[in-house]
Order: sequence, then C-alpha cells, then structure tokens
Amino acid sequence: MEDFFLIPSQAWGPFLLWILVTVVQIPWIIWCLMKIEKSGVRRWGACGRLFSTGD
Amino acid sequence: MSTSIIIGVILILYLVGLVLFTNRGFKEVTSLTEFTTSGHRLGLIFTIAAFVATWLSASSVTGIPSMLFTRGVPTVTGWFAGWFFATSLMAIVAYKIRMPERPSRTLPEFFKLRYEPYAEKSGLQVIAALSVVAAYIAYIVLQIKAVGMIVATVTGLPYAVAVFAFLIFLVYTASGGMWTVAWGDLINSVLIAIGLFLAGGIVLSKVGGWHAMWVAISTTTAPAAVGGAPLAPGSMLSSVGSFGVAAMVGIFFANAFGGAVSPHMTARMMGARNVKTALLMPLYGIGFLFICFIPILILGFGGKILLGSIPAGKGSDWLIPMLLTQFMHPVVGGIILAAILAAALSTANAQLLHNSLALTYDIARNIKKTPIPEDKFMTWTKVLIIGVGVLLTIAAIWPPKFIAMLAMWTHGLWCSTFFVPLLFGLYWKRMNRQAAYASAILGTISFIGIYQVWSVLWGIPAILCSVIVSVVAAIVCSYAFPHAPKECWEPYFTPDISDSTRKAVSIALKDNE
Repeated sequence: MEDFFLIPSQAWGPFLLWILVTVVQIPWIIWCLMKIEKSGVRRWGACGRLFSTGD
Repeated sequence: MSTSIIIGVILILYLVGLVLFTNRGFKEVTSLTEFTTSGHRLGLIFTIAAFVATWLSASSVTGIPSMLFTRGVPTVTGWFAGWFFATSLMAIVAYKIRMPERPSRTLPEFFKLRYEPYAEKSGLQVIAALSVVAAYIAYIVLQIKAVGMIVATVTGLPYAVAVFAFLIFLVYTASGGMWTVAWGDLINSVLIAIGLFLAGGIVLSKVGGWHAMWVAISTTTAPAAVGGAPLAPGSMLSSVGSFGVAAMVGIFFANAFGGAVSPHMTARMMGARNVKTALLMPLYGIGFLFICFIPILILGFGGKILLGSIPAGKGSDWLIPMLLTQFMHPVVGGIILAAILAAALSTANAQLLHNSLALTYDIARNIKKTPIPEDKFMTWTKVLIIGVGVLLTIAAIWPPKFIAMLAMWTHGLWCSTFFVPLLFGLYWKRMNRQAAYASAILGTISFIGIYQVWSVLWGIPAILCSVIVSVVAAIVCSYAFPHAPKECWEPYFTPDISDSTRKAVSIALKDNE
C-alpha cells in the first residue's frame, strides 16, 4: 500500500466532510458574538470582550 | 483480587462521586423554572459539561465503534459528519432561542410562546410533546440495553440486575430536574474523556500505532461475524459502502437536522445564563467532541484489527465488552466501564427528565383547566420519572417490537416535526400559527409515510422529502393566513419588548399559577 498522510486517500472525502461540518459554525458564531457586543445588551451577554460571557 | 471485584470497586467509587455531585444540584431547585431549565442561569462551564456529557451517549461510545467495526468509513460519512453538522446547526438555534427575557421552559412550550401565546390549551405544544415522547421511548430503552449488556458481560451480573441497578442512578440523577443533571454532568464529562483516551491509547498501542492501523484496515478481509463472507480488500475505506448514495444522504440529514433540534439540546440552550453562553456551548463543545471522537474511531478500527470477526451468534455490539475483557487490565477496564456508564447515564437522565416534562408540563399542565401548584407539579414529575423509568427498563429486558421501529424514526421524527417550525419561527417574523401546525403535521405524516413505504422517493430520502413538504406548507400558510401578531415574534427579534408582548408571555407561561 502506498504511503499516506494521516489517512489513506480513499477515505479523505468523509473525513474532510467531517472537518468541514465541524468548522462551518465558527464564522457564524463569531458574527453572532460581534452582533451581541455591538448591541450592548447586557442581558444577552454583552460585556466588552467577544468570548467572555459577562459572568 | 478477582477482576469482578476490582471493576466493582471502581464502579462504586464512580457512583459515590456521582451521588455527591448530584446532591449539590438538589439545593438549587427552588422553583418550577429552576427544575425545568436551571432558572435559565447555567454558567459556561456547566453548560459545556452538560452539553458534551449529554451529547456523548452509549450510541457514541459503543454503538459507533460497533458500526466502524462492521461498516468502516461510511460511519464517518453518515454519523460523524451528520452528528457534527447537527452541532453546528445548533449554533443557529442557540443565537435566537435564548434571546427572550423570559425563554420557554421546554421545546414544546417554545411553539406555544412563538405561535399561540394566548391559547388556553396549545395544540402545538401537545403535538410537539407527543413527538418528544415517542422518540425518547426508543432512545432511552437503547441506552439502558447497551449499559445492561456491557455491565452484565464485564462484571458477570445478571442482565436484569444490571439494568435495574442502572435505573436507580438514572432516576436519582434526573429527579432534581436540570440542576441535578447538570451537576452530575460535571463529573460525567471528565470521566467520559478520561475513559475514551485511556481505551483509545491502549488499543492504538496494541495495533502498532496510527499508520499501522490504517494499513491493516485498508487490507482486511475479515467479515464482521465469523462464518460470514470475506470482505473485498479496501472495502472498509469506501465512502458510502453498501448503503448507497441516497440512503447515506438520508442518514446524514436525519442525523443532522434531527439532532440539531433535539429537545434535550435545546433545553441546554434555554438553560444557559445568556445568549453568549448558549452560543459558546456548541463552539467549545464541538472542539471537545471532535477530540473525543478520535479514540472512538480507534476503538472501532483498532477493535477490528484485534478481533477480526465477532464470534457467530453475537452481534457487533459485543465489540466493546470483548475489548474490555480480553485486552484491558481490570483497573483500566473498570475505569473505561465507568466512562461508558457515565456516557449512557448522562444522556439517558436528560432524556428521561425531558420525556417526563413533556407529559406533565407540556401536556397535563398545558391542557388542565385548573392551575397546578409548583411543588405538586414537581412531585408529579418525579413520580413519573420513576414510573416511566421502570416501564422503559422492563422494555429493555423484553423489548416490544415497536421499539425497533421507533428507534429508526427518532431523529427523523424530530426533524419532520420541529425543524421548520423552529428555525422559521426564530428567523422569519411572518411565520404564523397556521404555518406551524401545517408544517409540523404534514412534515411528520410525510416522513413516516414515505419512510415506511418507499424509504427513498424519486431518489430523495424520506427525511428530505418531509423537510420539503414542511417548507412548502410553512410558506403557503404564512402567506395564505394573516401575519403572526407582534406578541409572537417580538421576543426573538428585539431586546426591548412592548408591554402587550410582556403580558402575552406571562399569560402563556401561566405565571399566575
């Protein structure tokens, strides 16, 4: 069998799909967090720091 | 010291720790909202722990390795990718569902608040609750069965004793509502991770490392069961295997759409302290879960290399018990067994709680004419947790035939009932009551009908057919009937709501009881 990087090439498709569906939420969440901070609504968690929950 | 005694001691240590943590949760339960949704004040650590522990179930830690053992890489396509896409979609739900200053206490109640807050008895809440109950019956029985089988095999206890012992802790951790579930999940989430990495590390060392594992999987011809037809070399690496593309697409979307709107996960979003906490839950949670799925992958493929084929007469569910008894030192086996128990318990207790709440809160409290005092309501729910738990444990010993059918429907049922009314309701002001009823009812009927008769219709899996039906029904009815009143959508779109909306929410939540 040929040498491969991490996993054999025949299996790249499903693993790339798995990684893609995992990271796809990141831009959405960052956008939502920025919207919350911009709104300034403390009840929603706005506290001046993007990844802090204001606890 | 015998293996059973060593494993028994480790399990007892875990259960003592679990009880100590769970007890702290009982002190927080001072009101109905604290019982159902932790008072909407769960902090980030609690939320993430509750999220990952509930997410990782017996299906994840034993069912997925079994499927990898039998089917290979298609498991990644349909289940890894499907479930993780569900988690990503949860972020879309999380941003809006926690926005109101008074969120709903259950997912079925969300449909009442969003679509018919003035209804004395909400039909939507009842329909949603019935979908919740039907799916949870199968889900909980599967968790109990998996635990019973593994504990019985590894410890030598009779199966019936194992499942009833599990029931005791299941009921105990669920009986304090969301708070006891959340406190228990603090210890469960840590133990699950420890157990998975321990098991994965040992199996990986025994097969010769990551590269050697993949070389062996690429060339194995051992059938799943002894006596079966040999596999074609390389068939374990196929993207869809024997499922076929249409069926695999259906599996992916059923797992993704149904998982994204599962009642126990939306409950965690509504239980979060604020919108940001609800949003960070899937973000940090998915990172933790992604890392945990690496050892799960190793258990499946490594197990295939170590065992080759499961002995005739035993199903692939025997993979994990066989790995524990044949390849692990008793102390290590005990820790891993405790982790499996933690995974099953942390999911099943949340499901048992929300199943019981669907019956008491979403059906009985919803349709009963006279108000129910809060303390009486909580007592009824606890009694139902015990009663339903006993019934489902009996079903795990003598499973009725319909359980298997319900198990196939679980995610599909939730997707067809909830997906469109939930997402459209959160993001489209125009979506009205009639559209919600139409999309939920027609979506559910079309899913069950198409799935039972054809499974795939004109090349489209049943789950996608039902989503299409739901979407069309929602759009047609949203334009055919009047726009939803402001009191329905305002809490999900603006931070400051009007007095009429505040009053409508108070009426819908039955604040005067």
